[in-house]
Amino acid sequence: MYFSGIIRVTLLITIVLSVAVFTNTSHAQIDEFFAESSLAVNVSPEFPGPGEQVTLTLVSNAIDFNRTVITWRVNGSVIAEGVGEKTFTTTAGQEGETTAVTVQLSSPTIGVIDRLVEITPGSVDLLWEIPDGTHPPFYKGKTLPVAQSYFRLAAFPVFQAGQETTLVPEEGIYRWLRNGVYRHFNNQSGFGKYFITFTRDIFNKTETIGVEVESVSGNNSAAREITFGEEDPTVFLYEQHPLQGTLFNNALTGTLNLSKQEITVRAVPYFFARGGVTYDWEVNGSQVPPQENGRPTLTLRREGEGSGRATVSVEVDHIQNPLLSARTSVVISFSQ
Amino acid sequence: MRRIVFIIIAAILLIILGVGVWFYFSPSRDIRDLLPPIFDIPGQGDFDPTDPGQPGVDEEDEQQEGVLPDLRKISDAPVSGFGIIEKEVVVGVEPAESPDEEDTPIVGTTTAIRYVEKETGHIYEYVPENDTTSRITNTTIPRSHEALISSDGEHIVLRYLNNQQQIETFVGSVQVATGTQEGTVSGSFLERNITAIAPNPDNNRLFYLIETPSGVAGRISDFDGSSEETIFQFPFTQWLADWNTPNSLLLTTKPSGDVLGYTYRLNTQTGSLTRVIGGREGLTVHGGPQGEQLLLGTSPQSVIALSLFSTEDSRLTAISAPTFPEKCVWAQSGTRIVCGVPENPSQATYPDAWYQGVISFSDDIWVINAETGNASVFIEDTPEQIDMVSLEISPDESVLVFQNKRDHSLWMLELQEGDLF
Repeated sequence: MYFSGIIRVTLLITIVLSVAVFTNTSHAQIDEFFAESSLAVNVSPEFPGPGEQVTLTLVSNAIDFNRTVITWRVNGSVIAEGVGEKTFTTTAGQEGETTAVTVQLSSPTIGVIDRLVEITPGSVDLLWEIPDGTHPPFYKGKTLPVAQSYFRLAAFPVFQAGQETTLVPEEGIYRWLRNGVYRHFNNQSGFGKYFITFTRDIFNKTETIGVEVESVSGNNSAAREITFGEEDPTVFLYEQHPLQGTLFNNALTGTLNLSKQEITVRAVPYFFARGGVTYDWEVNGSQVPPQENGRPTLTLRREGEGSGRATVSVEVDHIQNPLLSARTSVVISFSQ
Repeated sequence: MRRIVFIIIAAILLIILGVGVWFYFSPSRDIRDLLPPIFDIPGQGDFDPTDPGQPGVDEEDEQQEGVLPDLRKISDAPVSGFGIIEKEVVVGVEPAESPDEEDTPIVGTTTAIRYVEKETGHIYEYVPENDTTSRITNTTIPRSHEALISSDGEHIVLRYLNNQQQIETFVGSVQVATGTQEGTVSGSFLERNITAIAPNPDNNRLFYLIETPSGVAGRISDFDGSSEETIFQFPFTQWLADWNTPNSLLLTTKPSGDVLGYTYRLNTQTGSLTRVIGGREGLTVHGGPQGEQLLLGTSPQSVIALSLFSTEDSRLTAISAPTFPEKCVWAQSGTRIVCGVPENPSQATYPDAWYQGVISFSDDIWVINAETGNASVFIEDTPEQIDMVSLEISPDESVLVFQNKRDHSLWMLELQEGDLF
C-alpha cells in the first residue's frame, strides 16, 4: 500500500514534467519527431532477385506527401525528384551487388528526413528430384513427378555472383512453405535446413513449394517458389538382346519388321514409384499364358517359316497405388 | 582373209570371257568393290570377331586402292566406348654404320582408336593411317553399356547391368595381345550403382557419383580406381557430369524439356561450387577446354536450341545449328567445335524423347567457330542415318571419332589440315 502510493506520486511527477517539456517545444519539432518516426519505406518484392525491378513506396500517417519534395538517389545520383513522388522503381544488381537507394523528404513542416535502403539481391536455386521414381539404370533424363510422388528438394543460395560457395549451405536460415503456408514444414525449417522431403497430396494436382533463405548476418536474403504439375507414368518397350543387353537407344514403337526367329521384349516403366509393379502382357488381344506373364520381359518366337504380325501390348500397374498405370503396344511383323 | 578376221574376233571374245571368268572366281572379289568410296566399310568383313585365334588383320587391298573415304565406319558391330591414343610405331630404320652393328629403328607416333565391342567386351584397335584393325584383348565381358579408355590405352572402365539390373563398374588394366599370346583385361570393381562417370581432359582420372544414405557423393580416382577421394556431397543426387578443365568440372541437373535446369562448376581441388547458369528448360551443357565458354543446350516449347555461353561475362550467343551439346566436341584449341546437327527433328519433348530412344536423328556434321558463333555445314550427306554421340577429336586434330546412337556403330572422319580453321 505504501509502495503503490509512492508509484502514484512518481507517475504524477513524470506526467507533469512531460507536459512541461512539451509546452517548451515548438510545433515544428513535434511534427518532425512524429514524421520521422512514422515514415516507412516498403520494398517490393521483399526478396528481389538479380536484375529484378524493385519498387519502393513511402508510407506514413503523419506526412502529407503532396506537400513534400521527395528526392530519390541511386548510389549517390539523383534519379527522381518532385513533390508527391512517393513511389520509385529501380533495378536490382547482380547477386551480392548492393544498390544504395536514398530518399530525402523535405518540407517546412517536417524539415529534412533521409532514409537509406540497401538492395542486395540474392537468389536461391531450388533443385528437386523424385528419388524413388523408376527409370532405366543409365537414364540421363529427369524423373518426373506423378500422383503421390515422393519429392526431395534442396536449396542452393547464391548471394555473391560468380563467387565460389562451399557446397554445404548450412550457414543459411531457411523457411519452407507449402502452398504458401509455413506450418507444413515447421520441423524442416530453420538454421542449416537446406533440404526437405515431402509426399505430394493425393487431392492436389499442383503443389507450390517455396523457400526463403537468409544469411546469419541478415545481410543477404532470397526466396524462390516452384509449382509442380503432375505427369502420367509411362512405359516403353525395348529389345532385350542376349549379348548386348537391353537396347535402350531404340524404343519399340509403331511397327517393327523382324527377320530373325525370335525377339525378347522388355517393358521399362518410367516415373512409377518404387515398391513394385505388375506386368500384364497381351498378344493380339489375348492375355499370354500365366507362366509367361507377370514379368518385365516377353519372348516372341516365329512359328513355321511364314510371315506374320503380332500386336504385343503390356499394361504396367503399381502394386499399391491404383493411380499409377500405363500401357503401350507395338506391332511386330515377322518377315521371311 | 575372212578366216583370219574370224579367228581374231574369236580370240578377242575368248580373252574377254577368260578375264570375266577369272574376275568372277577371284578370291579377292568383294562386294565393297562395287560400292562408291563413301559407302565403304574398311576394317570390316575380313575380320571375324568370333575367331579368337586371329589377333590382327591387315586390309592391304583398301590401302592399295587409295580410295579410303574421309568419313568411314570403323566398326559395324555395336561398340560401348572408345578412346583415341597416340601410339608409338616404327616408321623406318637407320642403317647400321658397320656390319657388326644392328640397324636402329626410327620410332614415330600414329593415332589409333581403341574400342570395346558391346557384345563381348573385347578391345580392338583401329589405326587410320594404314586402315588396319586388330583385336588386342579377348577377355569376355558381355553387354557393356558404356566404356572409357584412358589416354595411354592401358586402362579401361566398363559399365554394364548385372542380372539384378544394378550398374556394375569394372576398372581394368589392358595387357595387349602379342604375336603368340591373346591380350587380356584384369582389374576390379568400383562400388555398385555409380550414377554418372566422367574422365578428366587428360583422360587419366575419373570423377564419379555414387548415391549415399544422405544423398550423393562425388569421388575422384585414378583410372584404375586407386587414389580415391570424396570431394563433393549433397542431398540432391541426379546430376550429369562433364569434366572439361584440369581443375574443375560441370555438374548439371538431369534435364527434361519441361523443367528448369541448373549448372554448377565444381572445383576439384577445393570441392567448392559456383553457380554457372540456371533456370533454363531442358538444360544440358558441354564445357570448353579453357573453361571460359560452354555450349549450352535448351529446349523450350520442344524447340532444340544451342548457344555459346561465356562464363566470364554471362554473354549468350545463339548458334544457328540446333543440336544438343553432347552431340558436339570441342577441338583442343577451344576455338572450333564439331557437332552432329539433326536434320528436321520431329516435334517432341527434348531431350527426354531422345534419351528414351523414342526419337532418333539423322545428323549433318557442322563446324562452329567458338569465337564468333558462326556455324557452317561440313558434311551434309552421310552414307547412313547417323545419330552422332560420344564425339572425340584426336590431339593432333587429324581424326574425329564418334558413335551412331542408332546402332552403336563406330565411325571416324579424317580431318585435313585447315578443316577446323
